[in-house]
Amino acid sequence: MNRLTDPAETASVAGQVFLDRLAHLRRRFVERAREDAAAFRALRDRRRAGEPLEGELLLTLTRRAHALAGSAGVFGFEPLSEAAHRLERMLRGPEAGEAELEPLFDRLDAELSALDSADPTT
Amino acid sequence: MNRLADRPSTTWVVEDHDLVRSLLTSWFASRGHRVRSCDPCDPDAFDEIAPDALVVLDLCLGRRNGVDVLQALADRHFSGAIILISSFPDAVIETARRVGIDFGLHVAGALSKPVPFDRLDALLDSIERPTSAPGSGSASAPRLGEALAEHRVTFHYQPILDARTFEVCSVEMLARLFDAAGRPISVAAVLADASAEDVRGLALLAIADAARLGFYLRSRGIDPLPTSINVPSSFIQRRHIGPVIDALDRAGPPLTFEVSELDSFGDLHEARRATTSAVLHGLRFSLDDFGTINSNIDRLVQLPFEEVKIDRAFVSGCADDPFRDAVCRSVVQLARLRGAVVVAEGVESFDDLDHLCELGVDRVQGYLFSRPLTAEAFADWILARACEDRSTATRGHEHDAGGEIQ
Repeated sequence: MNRLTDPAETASVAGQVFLDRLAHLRRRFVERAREDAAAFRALRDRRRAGEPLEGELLLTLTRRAHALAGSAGVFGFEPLSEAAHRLERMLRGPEAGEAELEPLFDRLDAELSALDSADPTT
Repeated sequence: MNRLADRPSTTWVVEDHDLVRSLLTSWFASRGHRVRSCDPCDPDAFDEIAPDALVVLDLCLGRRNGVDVLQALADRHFSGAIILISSFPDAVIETARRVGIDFGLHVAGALSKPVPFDRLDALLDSIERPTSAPGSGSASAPRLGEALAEHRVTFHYQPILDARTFEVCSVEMLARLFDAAGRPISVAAVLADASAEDVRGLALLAIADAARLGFYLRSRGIDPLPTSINVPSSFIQRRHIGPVIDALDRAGPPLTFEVSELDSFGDLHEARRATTSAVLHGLRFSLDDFGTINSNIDRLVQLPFEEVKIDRAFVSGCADDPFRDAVCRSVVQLARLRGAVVVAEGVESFDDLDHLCELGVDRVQGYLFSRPLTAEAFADWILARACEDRSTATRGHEHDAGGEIQ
């Protein structure tokens, strides 16, 4: 069989290309953790400054948490994904009080910082 | 040519997170797909998507959402396959899947994030395999009327077992359709496009075939079994059921009509008269796919159903899933109060079987015992079981696991 038409051969070559790409995207995801952490802190500060958790602020926070939960999971960062999920669930819930939200923000911040300081190749 | 017979022309990744989009894009490319992505917020973005493409759609897309995209695809008469992915809870993904189906789209699958690539792989295999097309609305799907006229309809038979003794207590007939070249085609796809008249034609064919099955079983030394036939709600009128009742006394096994969930009764009063008088003549009615669409508690109360079949969606996984467990539990309770027999269909694991037995389900049906078989294979299956009964005194799972012939 022609080497180029051998499905097993093609699959393994394509598989390696995909794995390289995955590793690259994963590194970029980690590099972005610092930006994400800063964005969440900025949003959190607005809340702390007395802005009510509604309208654009609530929407932006929820979307960011949702995006982070999904993408962290896709790239295999389970604890970060779970932290973002918890925050998202609380934000979508009927009551998101200060007492409930603060620990969730802390947790998310800690996970993002841990990612930022981790070796992105592992 | 079947639209699903080949790989889709292009795979479109509709995902707003750039890194996830890149990841999905390279994964599909690694499978040899020609991949493109589009900006979900651009209203014109979908004009470029070819009707036979594959669309991989994230449900949460910033300002736009997955429902908007499904609507846009439906507006463009998109006929390719759609795979939904999301990190929303399963219940949301499932309802989104149904939204797609409501739009007439072919939603081939719905996966939660993180995307399980092995499941995505299996899903793609099923999309690219021509005979497994479950969708509807395909321009090339043959008409049921044509298939009936050209005798391209046969039936397979699946046993229904007593949940305590595991004896076969009845058999359900399931239609099998073939295209002009003799290849099997998806019954669901054909039925979705069929006229009410043709669906009734199929039910009449099944009734005639039930009598033939009875004769055949007798010729193999097997007592004819009570037989269940699927009929649409539009069949439940005196003018359609009358002739069946007239024929009932003559020959054939006792019949149960399993009323499908898909259509609603046009005239409930007429349906009530028709079912009541049919029951008085010895016909049984079973409420099929209970728990889905039109197969609901109201229907159970309105008509004289003697049997309720729990839909496979709630049976499969009921041992582990609290919600499915609760549904099965409630159906048993409701059916008891109505004096109806409960059948669990789609039983595929011993765990679920044990659980259903504990819940008090009366009868079970599913691949765990046997898939639908041709008349000949069905008779073989019954006879093989009878042999086993004689040779082994044991009863239980091991006994039943050995019963399937495939």
